[in-house]
Amino acid sequence: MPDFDHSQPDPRSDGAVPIAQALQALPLDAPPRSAWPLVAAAMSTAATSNASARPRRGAARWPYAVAAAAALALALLLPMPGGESGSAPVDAGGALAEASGTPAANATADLDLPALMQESARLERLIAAVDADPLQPADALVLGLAFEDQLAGLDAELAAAPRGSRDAARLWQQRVDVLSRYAELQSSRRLLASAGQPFETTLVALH
Amino acid sequence: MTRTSAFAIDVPETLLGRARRRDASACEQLYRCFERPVYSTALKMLGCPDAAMDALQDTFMKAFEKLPAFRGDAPFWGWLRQIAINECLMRLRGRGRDEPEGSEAFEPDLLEHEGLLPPQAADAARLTDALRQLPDRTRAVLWLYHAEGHTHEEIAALLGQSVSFSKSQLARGTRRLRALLQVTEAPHA
Repeated sequence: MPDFDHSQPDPRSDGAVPIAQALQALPLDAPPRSAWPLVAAAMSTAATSNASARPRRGAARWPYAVAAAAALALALLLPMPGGESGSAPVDAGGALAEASGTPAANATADLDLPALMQESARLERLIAAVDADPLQPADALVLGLAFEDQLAGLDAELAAAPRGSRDAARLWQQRVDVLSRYAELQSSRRLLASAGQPFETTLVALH
Repeated sequence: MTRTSAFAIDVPETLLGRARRRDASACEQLYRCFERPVYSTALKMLGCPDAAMDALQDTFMKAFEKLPAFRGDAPFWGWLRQIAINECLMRLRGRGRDEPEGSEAFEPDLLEHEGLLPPQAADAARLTDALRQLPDRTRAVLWLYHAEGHTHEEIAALLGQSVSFSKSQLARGTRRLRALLQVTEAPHA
């Protein structure tokens, strides 16, 4: 372990400063931007494939949201003491079956969660595959960031919602809806690009 | 005055455990905790914001990649700091050809009073600017010795050089720093 005996006596009366003291007193510098989205993207890439290429500065932020969501889903899927397993019916669009309104409503919502999470994970995989295109036009990237922000807001609410509650189920439903819309847009963009047509993001409504 | 490294932040074992299992939120917490110490060290050692950003990014990528192998018999911050310093030194080695002539020549030991900087050193902006003007490896030795508390033996091992090289760089860097700070004061005198 490095030692720390390099400090010298306190400043002299003429104001001279020991060099170690002067250097250690320098304030910490803050980076101009966070490197976390790229670090998270690299972790996500490493976890899902053996691709050796690391994303560099300027890469899309989407994979971070995917990684965060995957971690959250994993945390929520962990068996809880006394909890029930099994899945609830979810239609193709990811619609959550209505809770009965009985005192067991929370339990019903809990039963629906695994199916919603599964659908969410499926959509994320789809989006991650479509979004891997490094040559996306700027407007598509901006659109992606807007969806990502929307998703981040939902994830923040999900983190605060009690496990298995109706709130959590409702938020997961919203998450699936957001992902579905984004997946649909990205698929359309790919389809149009393959046909040589532009993707008009100005016509796309985010909400 | 004795001060610990800016890295010296204790991390709960539970957080490390979650990060080892690739829990994204735990990894992000660790990143937030150490972002500034890593970037700051990189910026001081490399003297260039772009290079420091790259070092910051690569430090955490390597740290999270190697985290499952971290045994925990030393503090996490020390382990992370070593990765950050290695990243910086790796970049400095790549710049080795740009070192000025004579930067490896023998430099006599510092006299006692030469370990003191002029009062302008208390001005962070001036001191940072003077540091930036030092040759890369000289600046790195100065920072590792004085700010991170490494010994000459440790610095020599990190740089793949002799102990006398480290001592010589320290003496040269300190004299140069004193001169730079005094020169910047001259117009105001």
